[in-house]
Amino acid sequence: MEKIQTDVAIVGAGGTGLRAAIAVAQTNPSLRIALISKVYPMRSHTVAAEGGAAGVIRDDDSLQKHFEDTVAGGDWLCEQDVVEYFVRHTTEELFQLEHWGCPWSRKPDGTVNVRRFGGMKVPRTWFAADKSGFHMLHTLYQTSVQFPSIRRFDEHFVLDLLVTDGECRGVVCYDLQNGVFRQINAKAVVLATGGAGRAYAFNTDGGIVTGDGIALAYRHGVRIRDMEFVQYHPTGLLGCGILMTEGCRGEGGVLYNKDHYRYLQDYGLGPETPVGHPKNKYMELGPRDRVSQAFWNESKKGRTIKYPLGEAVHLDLTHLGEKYLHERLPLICELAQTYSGVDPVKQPVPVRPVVHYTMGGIETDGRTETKMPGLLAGGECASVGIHGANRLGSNSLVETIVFGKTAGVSAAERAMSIKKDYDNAELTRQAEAAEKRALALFDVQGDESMSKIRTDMGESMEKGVGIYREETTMLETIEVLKQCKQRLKKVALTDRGRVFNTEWMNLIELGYTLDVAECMVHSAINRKESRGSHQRLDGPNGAYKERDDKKFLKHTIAVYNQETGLPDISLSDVKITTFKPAKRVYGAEAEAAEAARKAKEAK
Amino acid sequence: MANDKIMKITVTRYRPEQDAEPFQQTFDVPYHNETSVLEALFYIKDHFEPSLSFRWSCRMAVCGSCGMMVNGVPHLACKTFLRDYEGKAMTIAPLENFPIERDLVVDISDLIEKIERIKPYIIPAAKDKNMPLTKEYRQTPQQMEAYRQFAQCINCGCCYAACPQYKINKDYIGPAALTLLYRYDIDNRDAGSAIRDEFLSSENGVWGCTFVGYCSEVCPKHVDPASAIQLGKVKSATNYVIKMFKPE
Amino acid sequence: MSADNTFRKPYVPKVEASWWLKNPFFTRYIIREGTSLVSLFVCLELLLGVFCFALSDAHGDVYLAYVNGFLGNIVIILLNLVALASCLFHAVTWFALMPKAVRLFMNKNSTELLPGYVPHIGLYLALVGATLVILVAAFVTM
Repeated sequence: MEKIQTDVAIVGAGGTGLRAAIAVAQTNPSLRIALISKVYPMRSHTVAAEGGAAGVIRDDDSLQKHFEDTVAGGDWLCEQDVVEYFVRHTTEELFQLEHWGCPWSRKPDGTVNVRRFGGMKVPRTWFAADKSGFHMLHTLYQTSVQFPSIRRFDEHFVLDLLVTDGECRGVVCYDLQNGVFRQINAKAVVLATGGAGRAYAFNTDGGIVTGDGIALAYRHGVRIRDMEFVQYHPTGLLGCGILMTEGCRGEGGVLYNKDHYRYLQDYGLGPETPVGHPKNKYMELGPRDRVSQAFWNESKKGRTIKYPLGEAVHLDLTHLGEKYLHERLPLICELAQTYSGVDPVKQPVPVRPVVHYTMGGIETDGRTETKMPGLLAGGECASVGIHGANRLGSNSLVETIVFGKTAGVSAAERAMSIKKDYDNAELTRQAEAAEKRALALFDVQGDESMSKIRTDMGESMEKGVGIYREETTMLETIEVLKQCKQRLKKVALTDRGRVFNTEWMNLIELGYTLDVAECMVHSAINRKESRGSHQRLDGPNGAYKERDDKKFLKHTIAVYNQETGLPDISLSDVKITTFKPAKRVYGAEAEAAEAARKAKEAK
Repeated sequence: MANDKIMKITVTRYRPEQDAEPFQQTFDVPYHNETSVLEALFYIKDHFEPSLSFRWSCRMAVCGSCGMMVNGVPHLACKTFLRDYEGKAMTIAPLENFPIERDLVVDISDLIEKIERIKPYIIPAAKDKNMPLTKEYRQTPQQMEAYRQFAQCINCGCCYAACPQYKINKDYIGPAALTLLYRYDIDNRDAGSAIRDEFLSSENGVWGCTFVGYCSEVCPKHVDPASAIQLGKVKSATNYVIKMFKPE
Repeated sequence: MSADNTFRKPYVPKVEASWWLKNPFFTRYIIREGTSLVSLFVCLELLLGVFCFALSDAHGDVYLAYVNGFLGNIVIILLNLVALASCLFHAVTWFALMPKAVRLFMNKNSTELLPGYVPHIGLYLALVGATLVILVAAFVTM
């Protein structure tokens, strides 16, 4: 096996991975960087993000407001010191991208424009039309090519971390193009592999979003945090689940049920705002968890619209007019037309909630370091602590660059503090063992079908840990996942080749996803309350329907148990600095609460 | 899928460790109104031929993974629908003009190398080198509109598969990379035009293009590389004249 | 990377001589490029005419023979008709592409581009204008 010595190995080349790589290169150009990705960088799923990235820039905005929106949006499950750091660094990172060529949409005077987004008090979402992620990713990728110290390993699939003395010292990967294995030793390893939306059947994610990094860390006993919090985006295109950005509603789009009634006013987001005059934190600009939950309740009441492909509500943009739509939401127009046959200029778009984002992930501190020395994590695969129980739209794109940079700097500092390269027989032995395990999959006999296992997992996850949750269905999902893992051991590969063997790679990926899915459902069943995106319907006298700060103002920690093969679940404290937990309110109720607070302060 | 229609789909196969050269395999694939070519390939992989390899990810025509030839024309598999081929047979082949790595997967390393070669990043003017991270470059909507369309490329490679010049001369920098070059050249934040002229004006730069125009025809994102290249020729000619009168 | 450290064996398809027949777009392109051969013929024809004209004084009616004998030949007449047709074909296909080389904004602040049909129509007007000028000049000097 070829062995490569580097200083920093970064797994994943999306927004976070690329930003981290650039940060390492800028911190110290003599550091050797290995940027490893199972796809070419511009294929990473950052590319599909549409709406934008939050950064305080307006005179009527403040870091404090962004902080409060984020913490309240996360239902107080955020690490408040990390959120403080985060909001302080968003705007400079967005300017940095601007200097690197990102085409942020502008005002007529040539300065950056911002748009409204759900759960944000003031417009503060920077956007590049409705292709913000696409432009950010391509800007980062193109900027990264000028740094000779970044050595890319494109289409390299990571099979395992190399860990000795309790420290992470490298990775082993499969090179799809050449069909061979490579051992990459490093002084610091950054995981930036994205989320695990593919654990669910109906999601906005690309085929590559399989939770690889989370599973890699988990299998080595690294703490995985808050995995029960899975975000349903309220507006996915019916049928395929393709994302209709929250920017649609930020620009003034409204949601109707089958009676052409703006049903969100029935769910604590009212009173109704006039069509075409969106108001922050009201109605369609409520947070994602609330808007998705409203759909579920409308469905129960029989007030959704029935289509051959399922139930939906209508996202109406027609009042915005052709010119404005084509300028602000060109991709949305194209996607709705291509995948739904609907022209948003003329007709409302059928949408429904769809799994979108993994709030939890690998536990890290504010410097993106995990509890395993040498292992860092950033972006969607990490739980750095800014999203809590519900992420606000446009906080994650900016998270990729803020914590991508932080991860790069932290990793560089660690690498510089270690004088000698790590290389020893034990690392080589581990790499060879990983190779052997992967190759052993070719010898498996059995008649299980990988696609059936994937479907069973996805459907069971929707049922058990969907928008609303109950113990009985979660127990069923736990059982289904257990069987899926057993069945996975009986999948015989028909593809015997080594070059671009996607069947083989998909099998290993599915193993990763199943591990992450188990973390999700075990974390969820243990949280006997409702908070943010985790909403329960059960408990004695429905006790779990309410938020329970006494017992559950805590993070959930999942740690892999070698013996049972399942996660051990425990709770850990939440860092609260200045913003004490309160009732989470939107719409008119929020204004009343705000007024009350001000009156109290005045006294 | 009881009421589904059936389409005969012929797919190019090539397994480098077994086959001397590519061969064809035909499958009957059921489809409905929303079935894309990519979903047809999923169906084939799940039901008939698990060893069929192809690249894909986003399913929404933005990651650029799934470029391939459908009935001889470069397309994104996820943005091409079986309904538009009703009553016809369909052939799916790897993107033309690239070496076939395996089945529908081609080796795009040449495309990537060219994209990276032409310095696709802002090269700031000396006065802007240390611009603080508290303000932006002023860029009016019109200044952005000048390059916006050319910044929409997803690097799928369809234009290279459509380019006869690239077919006969692999040194030609090609549509996507030249478009990207032009995109940065005309960005008002950039001052690297003179540095990139080495690539723009070379024999394998814009002058390698004979204005076939098919690249723009097949581009799934309507980037119009042929336009960028013709505008690049105007720029290259201007650079030449300026150099003539202003020797260094 | 050492050669043995790979399982790759990429297949590079041969470029067939008939590649341009497989796609009507390429066929049209090759025909467009092919019109240059016909243009070459017209150039040589004109050059021959100029030579004949120059020789006319010293050697009698060479130019007249050129006009009557050569240009009057039915084969040459047909070839010239083909040349006219191919020249028009080239013009039409090239004009159709030309708007791609023009990118102008409607005014100083607009983000709207000059529509493609403006240069397209402009080229046709230029073609008609130039043809008229040549024809008028020819008749006037006759």
